[in-house]
Amino acid sequence: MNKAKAKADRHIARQAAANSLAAQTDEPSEPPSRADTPTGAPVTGDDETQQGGPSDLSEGHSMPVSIMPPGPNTAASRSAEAISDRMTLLRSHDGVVNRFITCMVPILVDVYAASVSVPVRIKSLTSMLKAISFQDEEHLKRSLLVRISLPSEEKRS
Amino acid sequence: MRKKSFTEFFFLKLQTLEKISEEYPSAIVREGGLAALLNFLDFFSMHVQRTALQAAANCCRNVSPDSFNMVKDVWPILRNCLGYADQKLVDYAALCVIRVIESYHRSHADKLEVLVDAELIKAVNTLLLPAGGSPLIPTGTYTQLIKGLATAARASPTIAISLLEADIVVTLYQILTGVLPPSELEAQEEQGASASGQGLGGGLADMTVMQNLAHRPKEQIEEALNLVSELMPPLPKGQSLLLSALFQ
Repeated sequence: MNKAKAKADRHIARQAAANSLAAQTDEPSEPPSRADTPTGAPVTGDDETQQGGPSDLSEGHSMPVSIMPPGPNTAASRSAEAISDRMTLLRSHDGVVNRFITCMVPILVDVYAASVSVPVRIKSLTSMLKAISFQDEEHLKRSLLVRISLPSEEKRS
Repeated sequence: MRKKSFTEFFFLKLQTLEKISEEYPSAIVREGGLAALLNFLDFFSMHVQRTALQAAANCCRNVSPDSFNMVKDVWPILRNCLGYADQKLVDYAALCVIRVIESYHRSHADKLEVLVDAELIKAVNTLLLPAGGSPLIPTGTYTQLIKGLATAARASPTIAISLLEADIVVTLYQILTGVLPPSELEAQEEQGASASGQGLGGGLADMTVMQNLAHRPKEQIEEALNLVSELMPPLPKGQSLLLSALFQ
């Protein structure tokens, strides 16, 4: 019960962070979860570990480094910073990342097709989504067109 | 403990230390026990080495950030142990690495970056490589090692880049398909001209992947996919919300 509530709170916090980013206001938009949760410190700690990873909310590489208001959203802003740092680092090592993606995308498709277990499918889909949203047109052609011979997945360009 | 003039006494002390390490690991690390355990590892017999490494593995559980320097000092020894021939030694050394990563990844990513450098990644990669053949370590530890790498990559982008540069893609490819990935040249030639059957880059049939997936323990596949996911670039804004809504 607590876990589900914490998860919902984090979701709301993320959405609030997304809204404040989109609006780019200076007002510290206090997410309702912070007022609600009695145990402030553990939730923040939990948030940090959960949102520290790349799979969470991101500013995207086109936006400048975090314009998050300080104060109540520090956990979210720190994670947004971390993510934009990660993005810059990955962009600078283009060759290796692209090689990785080009190698793995066909495998991910096959793993998705071959598996029944939902967590495995979710993971493979998430990885594919990340890969495709990262690459530019030319690299996408290379990684996706490898499967051109399969009739059901023809011509994904 | 430091004099080590009488090896018989040393062995007895080591056994005692090992028993203590099960109950009070942090005390041992605090008093410089890690160095005492591991510095003279090569001079002793197999049995003694195993006991020493087992004690070290116990000590690495929940190691505190204050003991970072001690861990750093014995780190090269542990790294070497990953390449030893004896299965148990490799197992214990891998456990040490895993536990240290576990302890440091949350709030001390910078310390983790110092430890998980290119050298360590190379050693771990070599360990993970016979992906399918006779593994040097038991499957449980193998799975945990992959999970440890994923945790480290998540904690620090630098580690993620080092992993990518160390050709972890070859290892992951092998874990998921059972064969080696095509070389880059091949992949470029096959653009739009893969007449080689059912379409993986390299002419790999879907059945091969499916068979390999069926043979591997489910946890390994999940952890390997987790590692792939952590190594991938972060999602653009909004996408993660979309995904979480879609699946939950």
